[in-house]
Order: sequence, then structure tokens, then C-alpha cells
Amino acid sequence: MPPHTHTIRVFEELLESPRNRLVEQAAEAGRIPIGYSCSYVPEALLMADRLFPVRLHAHGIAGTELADNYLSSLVCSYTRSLLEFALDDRYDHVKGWVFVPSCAHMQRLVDNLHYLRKPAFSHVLDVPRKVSRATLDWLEEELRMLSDRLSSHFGVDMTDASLTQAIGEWNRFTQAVRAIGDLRKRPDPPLTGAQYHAMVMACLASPKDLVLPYVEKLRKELQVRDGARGTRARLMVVGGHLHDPGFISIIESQGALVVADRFCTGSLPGLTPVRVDGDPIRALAVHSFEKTLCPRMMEDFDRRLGFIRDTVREYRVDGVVLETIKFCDLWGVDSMTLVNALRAEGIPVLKLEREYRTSGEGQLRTRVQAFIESMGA
Amino acid sequence: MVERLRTRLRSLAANLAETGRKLWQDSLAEYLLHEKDPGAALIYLKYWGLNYSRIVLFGVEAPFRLGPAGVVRMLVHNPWIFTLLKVNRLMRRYGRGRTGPYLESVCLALNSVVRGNVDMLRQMFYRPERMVISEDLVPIDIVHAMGLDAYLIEGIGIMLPILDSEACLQYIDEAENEGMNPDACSLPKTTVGMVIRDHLPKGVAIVSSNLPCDAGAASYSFIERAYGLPTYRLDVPYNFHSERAENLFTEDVKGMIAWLEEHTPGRMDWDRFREICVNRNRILELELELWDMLRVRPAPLASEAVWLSHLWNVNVTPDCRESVSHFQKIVSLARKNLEDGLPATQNERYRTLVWNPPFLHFTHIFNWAERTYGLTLLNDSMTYHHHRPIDTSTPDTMLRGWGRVVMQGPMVRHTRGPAENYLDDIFRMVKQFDLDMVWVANHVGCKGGQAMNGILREKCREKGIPLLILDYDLSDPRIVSHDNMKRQVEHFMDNVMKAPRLDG
Amino acid sequence: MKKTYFGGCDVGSTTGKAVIIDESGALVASAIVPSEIDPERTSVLALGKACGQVPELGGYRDLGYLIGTGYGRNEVPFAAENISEISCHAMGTFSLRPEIRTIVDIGGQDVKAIALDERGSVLEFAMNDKCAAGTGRFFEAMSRVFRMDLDAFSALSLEAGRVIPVTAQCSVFAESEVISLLARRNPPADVAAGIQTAVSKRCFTLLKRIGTRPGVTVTGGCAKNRGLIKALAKVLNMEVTGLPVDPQIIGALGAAVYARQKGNGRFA
Repeated sequence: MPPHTHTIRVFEELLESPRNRLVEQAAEAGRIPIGYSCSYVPEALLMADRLFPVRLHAHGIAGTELADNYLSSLVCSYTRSLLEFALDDRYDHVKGWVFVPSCAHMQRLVDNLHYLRKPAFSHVLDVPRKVSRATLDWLEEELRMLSDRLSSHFGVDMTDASLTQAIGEWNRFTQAVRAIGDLRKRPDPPLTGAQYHAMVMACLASPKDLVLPYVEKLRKELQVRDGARGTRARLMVVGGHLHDPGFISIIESQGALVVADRFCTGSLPGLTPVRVDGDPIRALAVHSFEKTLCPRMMEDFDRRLGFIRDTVREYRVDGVVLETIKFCDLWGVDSMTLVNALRAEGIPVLKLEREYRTSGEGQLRTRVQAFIESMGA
Repeated sequence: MVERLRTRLRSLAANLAETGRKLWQDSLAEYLLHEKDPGAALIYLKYWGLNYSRIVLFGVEAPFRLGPAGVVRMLVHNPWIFTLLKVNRLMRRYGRGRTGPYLESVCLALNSVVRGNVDMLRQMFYRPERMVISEDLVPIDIVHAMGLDAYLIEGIGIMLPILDSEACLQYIDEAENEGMNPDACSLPKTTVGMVIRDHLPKGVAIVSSNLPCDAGAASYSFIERAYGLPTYRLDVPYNFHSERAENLFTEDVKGMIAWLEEHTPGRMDWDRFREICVNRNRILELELELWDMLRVRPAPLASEAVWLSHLWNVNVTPDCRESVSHFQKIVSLARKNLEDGLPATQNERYRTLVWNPPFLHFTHIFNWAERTYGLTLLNDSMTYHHHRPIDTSTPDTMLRGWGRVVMQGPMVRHTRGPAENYLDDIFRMVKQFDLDMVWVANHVGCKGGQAMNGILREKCREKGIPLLILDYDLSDPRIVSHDNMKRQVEHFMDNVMKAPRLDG
Repeated sequence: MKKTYFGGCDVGSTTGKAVIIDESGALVASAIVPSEIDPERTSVLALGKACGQVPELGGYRDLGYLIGTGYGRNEVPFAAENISEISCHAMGTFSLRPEIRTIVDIGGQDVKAIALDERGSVLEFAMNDKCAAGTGRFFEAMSRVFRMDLDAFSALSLEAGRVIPVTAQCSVFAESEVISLLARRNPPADVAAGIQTAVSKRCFTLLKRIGTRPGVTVTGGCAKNRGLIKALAKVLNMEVTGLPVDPQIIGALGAAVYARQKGNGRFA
């Protein structure tokens, strides 16, 4: 396996806490961190003027005893982890929250957060569950409303010019990350899936302009590195929220290499540039619908299936690991159809139910090892 | 060999004895032998006959509509139909300890369910070329106004456990074995299981939505692929209490009509739709009149007369004139009791509401609670709606009004929008019906409901409202048994309410 | 010429198993030992006991190739590599009965369902390793309630006149339910039949996930439970084929077969 580089260690450090040093650096410079938890929130909008988006994560969560009293232990552990961190004051630096009613669990997280913490700025972006002319217009209006609220509450510049500039910055960032991601199409990628994910997650949780130099540095380091050799299988991970690169490490510890990441915080297709053709807010609305593939969207199954199939071909993937967080109804129900459909296309699939926090390492290793062996690898 | 045969025969004899005992227990003869109140016996006998006669009528007409082979095919492919024959057994359970107009109202409510189900069977099987499958929170008003037949696919999964606690288990297991997450709500599990077993007729199109929850909405990817049918999905916004949301949803509904005209033989008849809206408005008036009377202490009617009447006549058959007559009868029975000073429950001591879908596989728990603690169920979250009557002036006003009925309907308004949509109704009902406590039907598969319990507990404590969070599974009694559910109630009533038992 | 032997060691949570086969693939030795806290020690004990049955072997270091499997597979000393217990159970079964297509492995603390193809490759698998209901631990608890040893308990349900349903959702609750049933003077054989049926139904759920093909067998210690085998055959409505060796050593046998395949390549 390709060893860690210094830069990868930087990314891992940035992930150790939601309030990492780059977030602190930006906050001290008078910039405004806005927390968000769903891929339907257009990050570029939250990069306008002094704003910067931070993807909410709860790395290092030990338990959710406080949150369970409110959200119940029968609810997604991601949302419970976020609430637990909030109750532990781990998000005190976050000045605003932007949510999407992605699912019932996320909706109730918002309700409980409002009840328990009464944030000064919290906004629910009402993203429709299907794509049509009417819902695109609706989403555009929703983004305008969010933009206006951000402007009036924080006194930031949300004009078209400011948004266009933010989009430019987002596009530069995604291009840099994608350039590294493309290296994974090679038969001998110069970094592991865990290392790549550490980079992506750290970027999502940090101000883009401050983390971009590290991405560029990593890209240079990788140009002179030998790639991974002798891997038993090339895998694609599909699913919902996956924040811990440690989970991917465990998968790769059995001799596999994760080369493609199609989950909420993955880069496929998530980190794509925004095409602006006139109105930047309209462009963000279109982009939001296009770049996110989530089972909350009622009419999107075929597109998601097609995307996975195409990625399997493009990245020469041997098998798909479908990870779902326990109690997630969207992925839990959808995976029933997805697993059958993928297998019907001759794509081996391992379905793994997990908690947000990586646990059950032994059980995970056994399943992955057996999956790799069953592929004849 | 001889020993094995002896063991087998012993086992067979034991099973036969058990079956015989159950059949006798549920029989009319056994009831008449033990019922001491001749008035109650007459009511029971009347509805026993009415229930079976509706079923028999269907049984007689079906061969003429489907042919004998068609009837056999229908029964072989849809064996759950036989569960309808258990309706009178359920009526016994609902009727225990109840007399007079209250007993009549409960039997009437159940009879309206039989009527609704038999009518649904006609729609499911008689004209497959004009039949549309509808998700249960998309009312069939528009489909019917287009001259199409329809059935609420989840409606079967709602009806079955009410009639037979274990009727859904095979379907739940089927869905779980197919890979559906076991923690998903057992209603979509039942529906998916029935689809897998091919125990439901297909029709020509599916109308679905994002209601009420993730598991339900996500299951339609599976159903659509399994049936290979075109599917239209309505999308209720998260923030639905605005003109903007009404505009979006109205356009969505118009889109559904155009789509149905493209994919089915149906054509929109606005006059027929107006009749349906008028019917709904009339039912709304009658229900509000009934609820007004229920505010009196002790209440003149309660329990199934209220929630079961609503479940079928408003959710499943709002377009039928019989649904209006049903509520007229219910209201007149309530008025009769009120005028005669007769309460529904002889010893009404406590009044409650049930929040979240009712205990489908154990709906007669309310009868038990009445007899044991004098506890009456006055209303529940699935019944309690508060939309305005539909303005029938123009097609546009009708669509907007109908859209509001859907968007602001029970469960829909509770599963989107801020927490106030969930909580305010509870406290309004406590005041409106002068309630002594709140029961939450804490279905393990309802994540949205589970995640509100923490806040609800604290709010109830602030307001001094005793709260029972009753753990169970909507359709699967294996998760929490009936005995366990009763024990939870007992613990609450004994220790929190300090309620004396009426059954000694 | 000196013979070469190949070994497989299956380190489970309850027992450690070791199997030795010779160059022709014939089974020459096997051993089962209770698991120690230290998996390495367990493997040393099991291998020591097995090697002691083969005069030409001084110890496990004399094996031509050794493969570890089971939860403690990483701790088998001098193992050339480790292979998952799923693949090993599949290989072990296939080497004895190539017509088998479905395996249920009921171990001390977990249950696995494995589907094989005609080459003995794993097609699909499902595991329940998060809950002890329906595993060896569960049967140990049940036999204690009946005041019997496992053998006697396993045969008890064969005398049942009928099956009294028992929940198998949770070992703890099942135990208290069984005590209540026995206290109410229900025939013990009928209650035992209920327990076997409950466990069989849990296996059925796992099997449904992978698809049950005809040619079913049970491996693991619980395969020696005759009552369970009968109940499982009834629940599946299929014959359950027995194996010609102790079903508890199948995982270790599979590891040994893999060792022979890989070791033969080395020594060829």
C-alpha cells in the first residue's frame, strides 16, 4: 500500500475536530463558518464573501447518550452524533446552520437542535424530492431566500458578482480534487482510498481557499510516487454518510483498494464544477440536482444505478461495497432494489450495515475478506 | 415407527382440538349463549348479518363479473381476501361490555369498513384495464373523478392486521428476506412483501408520493420495477403552509391529471370531482359536529365510532354517498346518547387521545382499557384534521382545496415542517377534548415519531399532562406482544394515574 | 520419501479446532480444544493435539503449509496466511460433499449462511455475529434450564407431541420464557421442540437472504443437535445432509484443504 505522505497526515489532523486549525484561522480573520449536513446544500453559495461552509462531522464520537434521550436510539447514528456534539458544545464556533429535510432523521435533528440549542441562525432549505421545471424554479427561489437571509443576518455580500466569484473558487477547488481522483483510474493508483477520503473529508470540513494549497501539494507529491501494486481487488464504496477514513482502511486492510467513492461525502459525482450560464443562483439550483445522487429523490433510481455502472467501468472496479448506516430508511429500503439490480448486471456487491462511528472492526474484516475471496481474488 | 405414528396422531388431535375451540369461541352460537343483554345481542346479530351479507353479495356477483375461473384465480393469487371473513370475530372484541347506541355506532363503523373493503375488491379486480394503484396518502378522489378504479395499496396492509393480528407476518418476513431493512416500518414491509409474493393486482399505473415517510417513499423504486408500471409521484414540500407551496403542489396535481390522461383511459370530469369535493365537505361538517359532542364529559361516543369511522370513510371512501350517511348515523347516535344522558362508557373516568398510527394488530386494546380502567379514547392523530372546506367554485379552487386536504392531512403535516406541526395538535386536542392523558403509539419503525419523544416528554411534564409512550410495532405482534402492551398500560395506569381497576 | 502434511487451524470464540491432511488430501488428524483468552495459545494447543496424532510430525512447524481461520485467524503462529471462515467452511464442505450448495454454520456465538456453486466457490453469504440468540451459547443456556447436558437436550425435542412456540429474539428473554412455560407444566419435549423451531426460523431468515438451494448441510458444533437438524429440515422443507466427519471441524478442514492447494504449488 502507498505509505502516508506528510500532507495526508495534515488532512488527518484537520479531521480530528470540527474546529480544526484552518477553521480557527478563518474565524479569527473575521470569516463566518456555516455548518451544513447534506449534499443538496450548494457549498459555493456558502463561500460568498466572508462565509465558508463546514461539513458537519463528529469524528471521534464515543457515544450518543445525551442525544439518545431526544432522538432515540432507533434513529440514524449520524444525526445522533451531530446532536451529541452540539450538546457537548463542539460546534460553538459554527455561526449558522443550513439544513435540508433530507430524511425524517435529519428533520428531527433540526427540531431537537432548535429545541435544545436555539441557534442564532438556522435555515432549512426545502429541496424537492423530484426534478422538474417547477421544482427547479422552486429550488431557485429557495436559494434566493437563503441568500437573502444570509445577507441580512450576517451583513455579507450575496450579489450575483459575489456568488459568481464564489463559484469560481469552488470550481478551482473541485478541479484540484478531481485531478487527484482521476489518478485512481490507473491500474496502480498512487494513494489508497482511505488517504483519498481523508483529503476529501478534510477539505469539506475546512475553508476551501485555505485547504486548497495542501491539495495542490499532495498532487505534486503523488506525481513522483509509486502506485499501489498487487491489490487483490479494486472496490467502489457506495452509500450514505461516510466520514471516517478508518472504515475504508479496514476494507483495504484485506488487500483491496478502494478506487471510487460514490457516497454523500465522496467525490463522485459530488465534487463537480458549477456551470454558470447567466444567473448564478439558477446555476447552483441546477448543479444541486445534478451532482447529488440520493435515494431521497423519488425518480432518480435509474440515474443512480446507471452512474454506479458507468463508474464501475471507468474505474475498472471489481466489486461494490454498499454501506448503509443502521436505521437509515432511504438507503435501507433502496439497497434492496439496488443490490438486486447491480447483481443482475454482473457486479458483485457486498452490503454492509454500519454505525456512523466505525466499530465492529473484526466483523467488518471478516465480511470484506470473504467478499474478496468470493470474487476469486 | 409405531411410536412416531402415535406421536403424529397425538399432535394432530391436539391441533384439531385447538382449532375447534377457537372456532367455537368466535361463533355466533357461543356469543348468543353468553350474552346477557338482549338489546346488545340484537345489535350484534343485525350487524353480523349485514357484514356477512355484504361479503356474500360480492361472492355471488364475482363469478358473473370474472367467471368461475377468474374467481378461483383471484382467490388463489390473493389469499388475504379470506381474512375479511374474520370481521365478526373483531366485532365481538369491539363489542364486549358496550351497549345501546355506543355498541351500534361501533358495529356501524366496522360495517362501513366491510362496505369499503368489498367496494375496494370490486375496483381491484373487475376492470383491470382501468385500475390504478394509489399510495395510501394520495386520496383516490381524482382518480375516481377520471372514471378510473383504484385501490390504496398500503390499505391492505392496514386492514389485515386489524382483522387478524398475524395476517402480515408472512409478508413482513418476505420483505426482510429480500433485503429490506428490518427496522423499516412494517407497513411498507407488508406492502413490499405482498408485491414479492404477487398477492396484489397490478392495474395500469401507479400514483405515489413522498408521503408519509422515507421507507414508504423509497419502497416505490422496488414496486415500480417489480410491476413494470409507469409511476407518478406527488411531492409535498417541507414548508407546505404557504401560498407558494400550494401553487407548487397544485401544479404537481395538474401534472398528475395530465399524466393519468396520457397513461390510462381516464379523463377528468370536473363535475364528478365537484360532487366528490361536496361529499368531503359534508363529511367534514358532520365530523366536526361529532367532535363537538365528544367534548362533553362523559362522552356520548368514543373509540372505533370515531377513529375507525374516519379511517375508512374519509381516507378510503370519501367520495361515497354512503360515507356521508354513515356519519349522519354516527352523529344521530351521539346526539341520542347526549340527549338521553347516556355516556358511551358506563364508568368513564379517564379520557385520552392516541398519537401516531393506531395499534393495527391490537385495536381492541381500547375496549380492554375501557372495561378495565373506564378509559375512553376520544380522538387520535390520524383522525384529527383541520383543513378548511374545499371551495368548489372552479377547477382551480377545487384543486387547491383538495391539495390542502392532502398537504395538511394527518400524518402528512406531522412529518414535515417544524416540530410545532407535531406538538401543537397534541396540546390543542388535550384542551379541545378535555383529556386526562396522552398516549403515544410508539411504533418502533416510525423514526420521525421516536425522535420527538424526548421533546414531547418534557413539554408534557411542563404542562402537567401524564404521558404514556407505549412501545410496539405497527403490524408485527412478535416485536411487542399484546400481553406486553397491556402490561405497559397497567404500569402507567396503576403507578402514574393511580387508577383503580374496574375488573376487580 | 518424507510425507508432507498440511494444516488448518480454526480459532473460534468457544473452541479451537485443528485438522491435518496428507498430500493426497486424506484427513489424518483432528483436534478440538476449549478456547483460551489468548487465541494464539488456543491455536498452539489445538495444533499440538492434532500433530500429536501424526508420528512423523514433531509439531506444527513441521507442517508443509498452515492456514489460519476463524475470528482468531491472525494469531495462528507460523500460519502462512489466513482465510475467512466463510471460504473455509465452503471449501471444507465441498471437499467432502461436492453436491452441497447451501451451508448453515451454527457456531458458539454466530450463525452463517453460505451459498456455493458447483465449483465450491462462495456465491453469497450472510452472517449474524451481533447477537447470540440461536447459537451454541443459546443452547448451552437452554440445556441448563432443562438441567440436561447438550446431548440429552438435543434429543429431547424428538419426543415432542407438538411444538410450543418460543421466542428466539433474545437469549435472555427466551430463557425466562422457557422457565415460565416449564413452570406451567408444559411437556418439556414440546418446549424443547419450540426452541429448536425458533432457532431454525432464525437460520431460515439468514438462508432466505442468500437463497436456499437443495443440497443443504449444517456445520459447526450445533450440527450435532439432532433436534435442531430435524426442525431445520421441517422449516426449510428440504432434506439436510449429514457430513462424514465431525461438523465442528469443517472450518479447519477447509483451511487445511486450502493449505494443501497452496502448499502443493510450492512443493511441486
